[in-house]
Amino acid sequence: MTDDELLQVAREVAREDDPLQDERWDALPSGDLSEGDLAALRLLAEHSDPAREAFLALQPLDEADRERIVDAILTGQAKAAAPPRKGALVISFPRRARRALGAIVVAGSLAAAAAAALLVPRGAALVPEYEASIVGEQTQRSGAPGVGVPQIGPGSQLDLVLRPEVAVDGPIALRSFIFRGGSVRSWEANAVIAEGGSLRIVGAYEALFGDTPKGSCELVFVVGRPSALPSDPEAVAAALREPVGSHRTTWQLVRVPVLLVDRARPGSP
Amino acid sequence: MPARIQKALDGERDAARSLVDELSPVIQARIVRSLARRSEAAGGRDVRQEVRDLTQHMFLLLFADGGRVLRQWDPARGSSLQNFVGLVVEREAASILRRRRRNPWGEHPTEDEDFERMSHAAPGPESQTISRDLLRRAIVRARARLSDRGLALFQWIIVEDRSVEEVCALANMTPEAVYAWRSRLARLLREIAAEGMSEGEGTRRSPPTDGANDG
Repeated sequence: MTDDELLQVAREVAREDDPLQDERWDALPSGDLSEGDLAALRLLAEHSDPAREAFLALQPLDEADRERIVDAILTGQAKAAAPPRKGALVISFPRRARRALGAIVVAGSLAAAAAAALLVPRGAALVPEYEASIVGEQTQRSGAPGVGVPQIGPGSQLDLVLRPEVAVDGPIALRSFIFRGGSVRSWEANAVIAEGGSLRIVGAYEALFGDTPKGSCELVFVVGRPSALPSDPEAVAAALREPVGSHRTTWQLVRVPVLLVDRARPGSP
Repeated sequence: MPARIQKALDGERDAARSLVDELSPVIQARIVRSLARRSEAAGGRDVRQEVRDLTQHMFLLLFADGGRVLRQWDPARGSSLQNFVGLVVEREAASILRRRRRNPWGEHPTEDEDFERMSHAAPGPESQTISRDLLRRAIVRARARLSDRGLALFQWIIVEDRSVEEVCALANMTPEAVYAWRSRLARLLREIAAEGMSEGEGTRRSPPTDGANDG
């Protein structure tokens, strides 16, 4: 039996056993399948776990999913087109040695950087845009250019800093939320506020995320004047749906995508 | 570059939405097929949510750096936009799965271990015909032994019978490396099939166990 013969038989056998061999699976996400084809796939799903998972995973994206993707695309374009930051930021936190993976700038505010934000006079009520960065040995890039998603899991420490485009005078407050699966919920994350309006959240994964389900989510921060901050998750969800470039003056919205991973604690069996 | 894509790259919302509608089915389908190769690849996550997240990730990849990846599509080369994006997605999905496996708490063999295992494989029953049943069992065992990269190559080279050119693009390999993997995978199947034959013979020859009830 030559290699060619062996691989030909292997191909036939593997295809016989592949629950996704049916090409109709590829058409399922388009929503264009006939009722008959859909019923056939549903029947396959009733008799096989992999087929059942595929049936669920290949359902067409809904309107909210599609709009979320468009928002993400346009936000990324807006960030790329933003003018470079002028001048150094003043942050009163003690400097920390950068660890091996260094600091990863992971997200900016939802709105496009506006030149006006760079001109906010000290003492004004206006709140400039904020940018988030995560520092820590447990974080890592996802690898895609411009799409760094830190991974955080049990045993790791979150060290997240929110910096304003320019130093802010006057009272600043922060409310934190987690956006996952299309819904927003409040998130208890105590922040230290530095002179100039920078904020820092440091804490163990267990303390910050507790029983939060693993997987992709976004940490959502609203930062601004205490009396102006939205506190209701529904209001934050509505803000997340606003068009890119929505202009806010007394508070800003910062989104930080993260991947919560499930892994053994260091040293555990 | 077609005008509709250029408009999306220029930040026109309607054009971006149109591309999302057009490309999300092929992106979803390729992601699900990639995840299905390794059933535990989702790591206990909600698979539907995983596919949603990865779909968004793929769109961001296409549009990153001014659409650097998307701009590489050239209709003159004969590939449809769907096929081009499908290849990008498969390649990225394989890369993501590989990175997950590299994490320090991974339990599965690395690609280096694939090579080591294969290089030490005993000569298989090359002259023998291997039955379909035996080969079916060998495929299951081979898949369990392979890294995610090995699994992806098994799928592309053997199961899907992709062209060498396509595998080179997907795996970022030279044609020589693809041919080498083809030979290694064949050798692995022979080795495992030989193990199966030995086990079968051993089972038939094994004496009754101690303490067996003799009536």
